[in-house]
Amino acid sequence: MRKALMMLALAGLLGSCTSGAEPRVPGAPEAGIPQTAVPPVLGSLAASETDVTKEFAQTKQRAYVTAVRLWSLREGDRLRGTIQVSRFAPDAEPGDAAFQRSVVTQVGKSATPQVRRVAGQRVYVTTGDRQTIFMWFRGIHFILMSVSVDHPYPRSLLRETLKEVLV
Amino acid sequence: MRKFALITLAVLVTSCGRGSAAAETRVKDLDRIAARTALAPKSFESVTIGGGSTLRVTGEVQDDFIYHGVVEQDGQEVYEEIVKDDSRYLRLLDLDRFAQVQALDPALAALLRGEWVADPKGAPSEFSLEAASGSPPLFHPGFLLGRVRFIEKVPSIMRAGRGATEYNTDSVEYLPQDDRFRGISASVGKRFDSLPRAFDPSVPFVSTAALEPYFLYSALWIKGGQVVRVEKTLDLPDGTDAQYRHLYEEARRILQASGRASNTEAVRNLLLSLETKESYRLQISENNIVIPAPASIGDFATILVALGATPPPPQEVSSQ
Repeated sequence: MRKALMMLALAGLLGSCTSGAEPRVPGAPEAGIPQTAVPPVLGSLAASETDVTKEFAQTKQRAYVTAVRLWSLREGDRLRGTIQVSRFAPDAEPGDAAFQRSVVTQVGKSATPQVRRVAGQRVYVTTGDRQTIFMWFRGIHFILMSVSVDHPYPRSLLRETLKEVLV
Repeated sequence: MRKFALITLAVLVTSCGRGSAAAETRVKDLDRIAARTALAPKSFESVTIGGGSTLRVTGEVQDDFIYHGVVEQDGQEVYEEIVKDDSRYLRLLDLDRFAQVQALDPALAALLRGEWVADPKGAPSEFSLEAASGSPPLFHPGFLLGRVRFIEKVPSIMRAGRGATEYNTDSVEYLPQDDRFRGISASVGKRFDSLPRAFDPSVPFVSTAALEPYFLYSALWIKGGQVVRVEKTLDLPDGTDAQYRHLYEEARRILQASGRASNTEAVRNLLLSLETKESYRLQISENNIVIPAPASIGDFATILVALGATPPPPQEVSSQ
């Protein structure tokens, strides 16, 4: 389960966005995603960063993405979800609706993710393997949150995340 | 003469092609407007007439996961519902209607006293509408959700028949007998219609959805770049019409196959039950809509919260 959640989060973006930008190592100062982007507690879940340096470096395609950080969300030992924050290269157009569609349609099982408005933010919703996936764009960043179907409060968690992450 | 015929044909083919491309562009424009409207905070009123009953729902949508509605049947308020993120709350408004129901458990007792109760299953899932078939009944989570997200149906409504056309009574294509919404003032907004296609008797008649392409008249109004009103009416032909006779025979065959009475009255009633009218009006809110959580929750909900089976009532959250 843990691996499935992590791999989905990474595959969604790294496999789909191609451009001339060289991927850089996440966590490096130039990555542009602050280590404090995700607070240590979200709702009732503890957030801790997971090192994805190796997976990111192994991506063969040059990507629109210049940096990625991944956090796991746990209730005790139980993995309830993940949050992936990615930073786009300057030539990407994350504010453009067509660009957004081209990214979000690569993620999850639904052919077309649902578009929702939550707390004033446009959020794309799709499903994965026993998980609900929420995605949104904030400035130069793309945020993908996957939540296990076993978690009873996915929407409350989403609202909290919208309020707390990269604001 | 032959040359003239060819030229005429060429002109017709060219203009038909251009017309359908323009219609498709128009439908796509309407899709974009509907998508924008769907995402806005709004209040709405939905009225559905069919099967001998009138259902009216009034509601407010703070955002896609926070909404509230009051459901009326034949002029009487029946219940109220609030959805806040993962929670769903219900309150009965027509207590007399359920006076004979025995309160077998604390939840039902609280509901019958007119208190708010939390649905132990929580809010309807994100994809429950896609999975639902037909029209969900009263109290079903999909009943209110379907009305909250009604605008998402605009693309399929506008494609059900011949495609969207801009309403114009001076057009040579305008036929007064096809205008089902003549009484609605032009001040509502710019109107687009979708008229039914020519009837195809080879299509099996199995449901309202199967009949829609041939008998659904619909229109939408746009004002200020938003959809402000949608009207739909499934209008079956008159009893003397050849199409009606075809539908009549199909309906009788269906009743017979299911072992039900298939006399004239039963067949007419079945056909009448298929005729529906739906009206949806909405008002986009310039300001935040804030939907408060229920002031107090009944016994059952308190027990559920204590057991951790449902989240506690959320705090007020503004749409910003």
